[in-house]
Amino acid sequence: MKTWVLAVAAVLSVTTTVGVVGECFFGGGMTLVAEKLTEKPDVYIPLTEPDHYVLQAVSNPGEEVVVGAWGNSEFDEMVETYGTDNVEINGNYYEIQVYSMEIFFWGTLLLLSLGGWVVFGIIAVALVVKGIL
Amino acid sequence: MANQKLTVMKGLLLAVVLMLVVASRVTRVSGVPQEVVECDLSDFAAFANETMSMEERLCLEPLRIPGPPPPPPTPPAENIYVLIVVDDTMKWVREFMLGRSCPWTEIEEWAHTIFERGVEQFENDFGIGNFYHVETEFWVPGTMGLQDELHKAQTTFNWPDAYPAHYDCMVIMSGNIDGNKVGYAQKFGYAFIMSVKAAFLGMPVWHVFQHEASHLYGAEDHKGLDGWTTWCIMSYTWLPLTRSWCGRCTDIISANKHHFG
Repeated sequence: MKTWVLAVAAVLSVTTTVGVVGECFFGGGMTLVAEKLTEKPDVYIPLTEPDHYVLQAVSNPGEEVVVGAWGNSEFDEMVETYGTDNVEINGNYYEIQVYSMEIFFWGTLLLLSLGGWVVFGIIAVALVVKGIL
Repeated sequence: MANQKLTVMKGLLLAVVLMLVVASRVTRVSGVPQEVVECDLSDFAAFANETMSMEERLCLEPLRIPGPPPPPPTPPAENIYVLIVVDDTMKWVREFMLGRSCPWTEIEEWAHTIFERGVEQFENDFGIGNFYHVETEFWVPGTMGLQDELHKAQTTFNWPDAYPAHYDCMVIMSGNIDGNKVGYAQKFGYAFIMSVKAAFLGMPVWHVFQHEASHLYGAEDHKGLDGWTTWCIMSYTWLPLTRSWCGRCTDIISANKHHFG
């Protein structure tokens, strides 16, 4: 019996860890997609010190650069302040769109594993009370 | 003669005193000097003979005491017209779930149900109750990622600039299998794409709709530690279980509730 309990606990530990790590590192969130503009736009944000997410986005036009948590970059706040997502970096002009890319898989896995821990705890307590464990 | 002079003098004195009383009263009531009522003191005889009414004597006009300011006019209801685009992969997901083939009308009905339930909480919590799902478009976009499909749908239907009718918001419902991605929305944008494959995870798909629509009002995701500790539909962890917003997201959406207005 103890082997079964340990095995279930081990599986739950692995799924919880995978859920936590997955959501932190592969869980989507704020995403930047840059497009190089051929002409100077009427309105743009002159960026003198872009953060590394913005630099990564303009270095790879058309590709999604996942920022993750919205607090990791202030670019979305600049877009709101200036009312445009056009930027100028080193004399080049880009449109950098700010998206939320949703990946719920890891969060759902974590939620299921948390539910598993609750059920596991109840069963384990019942087994201890009955003297089986 | 002397009595008449005395009477006139008394009348004048009384009139001056009354004027002072009235002026001080008008000033005291409003806090600022108001229009001063001028007394016609030419008819002293009438005054002295008490043929004038009390109001005439006191030179009083009905005082206009300022009441509470009128309530601000209620802004007209903002109707939010929504165009829903449904693709063939959503049909495939529905058929897979039901284990039978479905006509497009049934898919449209499902899309409308997702829409109705997705906007329900906006009405309950913020009074944003005038979403109208006006039209459904069907299309076969081909194989591509969700983000590309979002752009292609807007290009294909010439939305919003050249679409035959005006719509405030475009929602693309798809069953697109694009890795683990379930949706894309631009913060303060006017369109989003959602994948109904979230149903395979046992997730109510209208929660995904509500989550994406919240981004249009400026709400941000809660992920990682923030997501685990925040009971909110914007949390990546608790989204399947709740339709409510946390205090932070409630404030943001309240502040931007006229985003489409």
